[in-house]
Amino acid sequence: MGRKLNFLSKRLLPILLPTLISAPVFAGPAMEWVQKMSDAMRNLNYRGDFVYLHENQLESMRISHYRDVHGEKERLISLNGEAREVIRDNQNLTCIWPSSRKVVIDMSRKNNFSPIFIPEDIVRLEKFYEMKLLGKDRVADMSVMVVHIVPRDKFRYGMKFWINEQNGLMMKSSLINEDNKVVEEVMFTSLKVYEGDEKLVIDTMPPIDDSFTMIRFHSGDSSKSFDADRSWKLEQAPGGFWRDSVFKRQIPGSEQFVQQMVFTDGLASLSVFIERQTLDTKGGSSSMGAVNAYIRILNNHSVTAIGEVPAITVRQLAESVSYQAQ
Amino acid sequence: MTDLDDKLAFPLDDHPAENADENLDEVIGDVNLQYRMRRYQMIGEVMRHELPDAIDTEFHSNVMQRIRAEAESQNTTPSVPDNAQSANSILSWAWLKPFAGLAVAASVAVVTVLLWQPIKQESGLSDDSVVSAEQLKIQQLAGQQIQANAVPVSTKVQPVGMRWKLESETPGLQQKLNSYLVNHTEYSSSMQGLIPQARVAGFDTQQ
Repeated sequence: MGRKLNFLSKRLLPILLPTLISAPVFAGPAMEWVQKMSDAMRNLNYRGDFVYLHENQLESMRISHYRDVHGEKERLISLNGEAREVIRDNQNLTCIWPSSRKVVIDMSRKNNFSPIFIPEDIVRLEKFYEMKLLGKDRVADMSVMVVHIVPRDKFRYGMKFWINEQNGLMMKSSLINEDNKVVEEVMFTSLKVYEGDEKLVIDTMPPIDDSFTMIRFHSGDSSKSFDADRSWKLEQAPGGFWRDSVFKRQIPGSEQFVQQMVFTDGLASLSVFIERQTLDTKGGSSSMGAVNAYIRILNNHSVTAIGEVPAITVRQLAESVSYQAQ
Repeated sequence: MTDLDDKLAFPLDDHPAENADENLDEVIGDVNLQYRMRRYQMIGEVMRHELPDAIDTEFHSNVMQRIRAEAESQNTTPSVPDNAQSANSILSWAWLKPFAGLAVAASVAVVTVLLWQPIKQESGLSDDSVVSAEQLKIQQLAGQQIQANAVPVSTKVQPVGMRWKLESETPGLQQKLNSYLVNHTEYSSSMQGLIPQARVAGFDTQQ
């Protein structure tokens, strides 16, 4: 008996322990449903109409998503008011405002078509959120499973997802703030999945004639990159957010650069933009729906933190930035 | 278009319809018909490109003066023959013709100016990088139609979509934050709770 226990403690525990620690509730069925949703949003071909609620304002939009061997393509159209459009493909992110006749073209980031990204490090994610499977519901006449992601502190929002039981597509989602109020909500009212021989055709870009103003934010040369200015430091981000990436880009038609640092906790994200001060602003807080921003002036530069996180998070992030000349 | 609309729509082509007098008599007795007729008149002005160059700020005084004069003349004339009454009603019509054109011109001017401003303020872009034929047209229109003493008839353009709530409104800040949000949405690879591009598609068109 003693030898058996000794064997267990010496041989099996080192193997089983990490599994016992990292496997808990978090990686359970709720996580599996979120994973299924992520895969479905990325891989399926679908077209649907949804309503988008933010700050007591209701908008209807249509999304078409297509994937084949060449990559993914997505088109989003506003169905009320001006027919604003966002079109994404492998190269470009194109925003069209027909009434003001403006087209903004930026470089799309490959492999970022899905709104969902599942972090590899589930254990780290568990420090910030609790995942609950709430049970079944019904959205747009379809059976769904409801997952509630509850934040463990005030630095991030909660989320609820209503996931189509049959195909895994997200039918409804809510962002919930620290006061337990819904700050943004998306809900599909109709959704069609295209499978087999049935082809989803995403119309090409609408006709854009000379009367449109084209504003191109990239030259098409994806290899053109600039080294980030290392004088800008951010040692400790609030709430356990970690730095995911840093970019530095030239502002079109200008000699100026803007540096972007992206932070994430695995589910939520926020960015810090640093550029030489051009606007006559003293800084401060701003918000639009669930997105908060905080501008701080430092060393003749504007430091702007922005993201779908509570106001306190963007403020603390902006205030954590320092400048140390190299 | 109903028969009544057909009768009222003659200002569209600027030619009186048959039985115009009868129609006008009908209009005199119904304020709703008067409004409807004025709308046709305005549409006709726009279609014929007869918009005036500017708005005269003294216009309302002229209108009030004219109305007072008409009222006085009616008071001093005990009985007014039908034809004369029809002629008076034309005040509301012939007289309002330039007014309607001015109203449309003013609205167009306001819209063109409001549209022009955000384009000029585009985040750090030099003018050369964004100039298009349409902008030149808008610039010309803005220059022609707004004069020192001109006032817009309607200064309110309904916003569409989302706008940033700012502690203090700074020119160009809305556009700057929008461009940051576009890049944040594109370069952050997290869940973000919903379809993140919906926020981009939801931007206020006037930004």
